[in-house]
Amino acid sequence: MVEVKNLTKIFNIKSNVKKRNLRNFFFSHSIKFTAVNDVTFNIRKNEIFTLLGPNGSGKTTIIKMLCGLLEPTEGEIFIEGGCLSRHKNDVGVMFRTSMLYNRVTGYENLRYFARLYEVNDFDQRIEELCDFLNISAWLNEYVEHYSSGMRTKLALARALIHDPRILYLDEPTLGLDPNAASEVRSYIKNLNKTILLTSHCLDEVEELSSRIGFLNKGELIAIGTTEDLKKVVKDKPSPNLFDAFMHLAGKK
Amino acid sequence: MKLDKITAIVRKEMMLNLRFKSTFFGRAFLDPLRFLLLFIIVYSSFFSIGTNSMAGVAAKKFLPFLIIGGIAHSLYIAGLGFDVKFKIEKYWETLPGILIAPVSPIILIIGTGIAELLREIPFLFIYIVVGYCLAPIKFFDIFFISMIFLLLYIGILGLGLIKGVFEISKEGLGLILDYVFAAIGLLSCFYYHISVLPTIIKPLVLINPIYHAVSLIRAIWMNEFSLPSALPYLISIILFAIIMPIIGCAVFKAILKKFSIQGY
Repeated sequence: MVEVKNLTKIFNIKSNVKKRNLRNFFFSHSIKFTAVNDVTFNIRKNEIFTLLGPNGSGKTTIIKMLCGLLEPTEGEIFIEGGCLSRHKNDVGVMFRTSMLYNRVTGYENLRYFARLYEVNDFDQRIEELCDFLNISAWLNEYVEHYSSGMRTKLALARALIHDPRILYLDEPTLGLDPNAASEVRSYIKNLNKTILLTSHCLDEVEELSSRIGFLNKGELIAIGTTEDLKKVVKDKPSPNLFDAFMHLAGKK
Repeated sequence: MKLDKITAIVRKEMMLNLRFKSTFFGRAFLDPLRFLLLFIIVYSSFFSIGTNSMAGVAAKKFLPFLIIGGIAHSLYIAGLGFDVKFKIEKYWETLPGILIAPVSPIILIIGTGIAELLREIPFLFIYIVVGYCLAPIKFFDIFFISMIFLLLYIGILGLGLIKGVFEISKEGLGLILDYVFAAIGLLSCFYYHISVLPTIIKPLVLINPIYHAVSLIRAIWMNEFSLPSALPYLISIILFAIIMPIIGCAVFKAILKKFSIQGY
């Protein structure tokens, strides 16, 4: 369903290292930083594919490229064999930042995005989603008054408002209490959509993922099921996902 | 369905604006007055000593002259407001929402343009009524003038989108662009006649379609208008309204594609 071929992203970063003294303050130099290096994977229809890796390994950069927010330096992205721009309506994205307008109500946020994605019966869709996510009671309140859990649920509703077939979820349970995280997890699990997930919560990854791609320093170094990843740890009799993570991240 | 997207943008902008109503209405009313009052004080102090004409502006006509300039200047500021909007949305971290949605830049221009215009229109209407009371004109001329103002505004929105995209992708150029657009504003002669400017600058004024729009509106209002002589200027304003949004959209797409959002 989603095919990523030889994806590479190189950033030109203005180095700040030499600016510590005044003499060099006005003279910055650029360094090239490879955030994603020659990454190839595909996501099958209705599977939850998780990108796992340490901080700075390139997970969010890949999602940004997949949704068209960043232009790849090299490589290609196909959705059902076609280019991304033709499938914008098929993709829903939830970043760590909620992309919600705090100064308007939850309803107005959802209505706005529903109209941008040409959802016809948007009021019914909003009602359905909010009932399911248990945020209906707060829908007519300003988002600035929401708790982080409710904000996350509203962000999820925002990503799902146009009923996309593909969903990119960047750490969807970040900052949630165990109960709220469990609610969001069970909701994601039952969505029956093609999902690309990133998370640092290994229980969540193990519970939700059909397959996992492990990224380290921008490179996809392992891909497979949870069990496949555990097999890379040779020095433990029954390794868990944490052991695999540490092993692949080169920390053990 | 494109209309749905436009109304969604208009509604969202209005909702955000109306969150703090006093700021919203206060700004829309007082911002044009700031410059207008300043120039009214300067001109009236000169004319109060008995001068009939000063720097190409006749004593009897200076108020409509300034009001027309004031309206054009308000539209100029409103049309260039994309940079502030984008900057705010950038720091609210809501900008990716619209950038990844299936919304073309032209829809963004129209939606944001209508929202800004809705804010300005009540007060611009008041200024037109005041101008009408000071120097009455035919109703058809008011319609004609309104159309020219609208064309001018559409062209300025294209310029605004260019200014705005640099705020997203190359924030460091913001101040330079502020000066560039302030210079274009100065070369549009909103509040003074072209004759007050140094000769070396005049060619720059004459290639500025905003100046021609303002001059044309003044000519219509002051009954100094003849269609054959005004036709080239009218064409330049129409071209400005058509070409500038197209250029704006092309630059917006190209800059975003190359540099994306700076700071995320």
